[in-house]
Amino acid sequence: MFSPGHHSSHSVDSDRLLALLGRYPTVVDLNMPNISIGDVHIEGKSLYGCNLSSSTLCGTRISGCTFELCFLAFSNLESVRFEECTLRNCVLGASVVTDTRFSSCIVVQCNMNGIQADVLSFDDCDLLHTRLNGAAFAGTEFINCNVKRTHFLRSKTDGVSFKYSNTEDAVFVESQGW
Amino acid sequence: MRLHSHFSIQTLTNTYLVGPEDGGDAILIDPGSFDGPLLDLVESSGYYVRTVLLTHGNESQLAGLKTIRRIYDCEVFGAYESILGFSTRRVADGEILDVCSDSIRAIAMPGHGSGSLAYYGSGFLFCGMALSAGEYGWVENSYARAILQADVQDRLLILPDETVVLPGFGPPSTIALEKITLPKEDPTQLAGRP
Repeated sequence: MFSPGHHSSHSVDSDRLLALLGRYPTVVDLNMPNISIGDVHIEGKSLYGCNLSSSTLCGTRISGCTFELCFLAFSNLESVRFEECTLRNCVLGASVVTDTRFSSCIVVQCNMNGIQADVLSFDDCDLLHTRLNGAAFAGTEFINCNVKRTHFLRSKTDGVSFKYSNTEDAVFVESQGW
Repeated sequence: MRLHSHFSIQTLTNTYLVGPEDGGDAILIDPGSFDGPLLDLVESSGYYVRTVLLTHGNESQLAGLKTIRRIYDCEVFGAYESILGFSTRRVADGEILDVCSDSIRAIAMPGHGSGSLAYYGSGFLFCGMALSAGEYGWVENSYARAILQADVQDRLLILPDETVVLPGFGPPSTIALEKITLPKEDPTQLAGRP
């Protein structure tokens, strides 16, 4: 696991990151905040304990990848496509998600609090124990999703579409608690 | 040091395992259960559980303790002198624990209960049930919530922004993220004061 606040030992730039992902199927413990990559396709990789906070991944297509204990908070995920990915215990909070799409993804216990969403879609996804508290949703849809025990506290979900989704155990108001 | 997170399906809580990258003595935080997958994780990582840290006396945080004590000769740290019949090393607020080649500071969280502790070390904050991503821990009334909120503000949110927050329930976070996503409430209003 990267050590928060200590950026020197594993810091890499964008080119180095892409080279690592090209060479190795699994990347562990990298600390690479503030990177900028775009319009690339990352496929079939596994990232564990990596810090990509405050990064820009605009236009990136990410398919068949696994992220565990990875940090993408305060990032720009504009036009990013997550396809058949698994995200577990990841932090994407306070990120900008404009025209961002999650397709057939498993999102378990991820922190998406405070995201700024504009045209965000989850299609055929499982969002289990995930947090979307205080999120700003515009043009957001959850289609055929399972949002079991996912929290939407202090988020305006009036215009959000949950078409064909199971919201039975989702938490929308504080009194439902945890 | 490497951090592992284990989610208990029985209690819906998180247990954390921290140890050297190449195996050795490890720290287990809040063993809500000690099931096969967690045992596999410990053993396959080459760890020996030498230390257990408890953030709370709630059974959902320590139900796995009996099993662990049967397998490993470990020292248990918590806010009480005895838990589940096992003698425990009682930890005071601000005490620095030198465990498994790491220094960890105990932070009392009385707003969440007299036996509530958080542990901070190596840039990680194990906050138990006092704080969960974007939410304060559950307490029984608004007065207790006001005290807990003050505790979180005064004792946890003063840590460095890049600190990784690892709660007993729910996803991880960072202090920087909690500063902007925790609800802003007036503690005096919560406590019913003018």
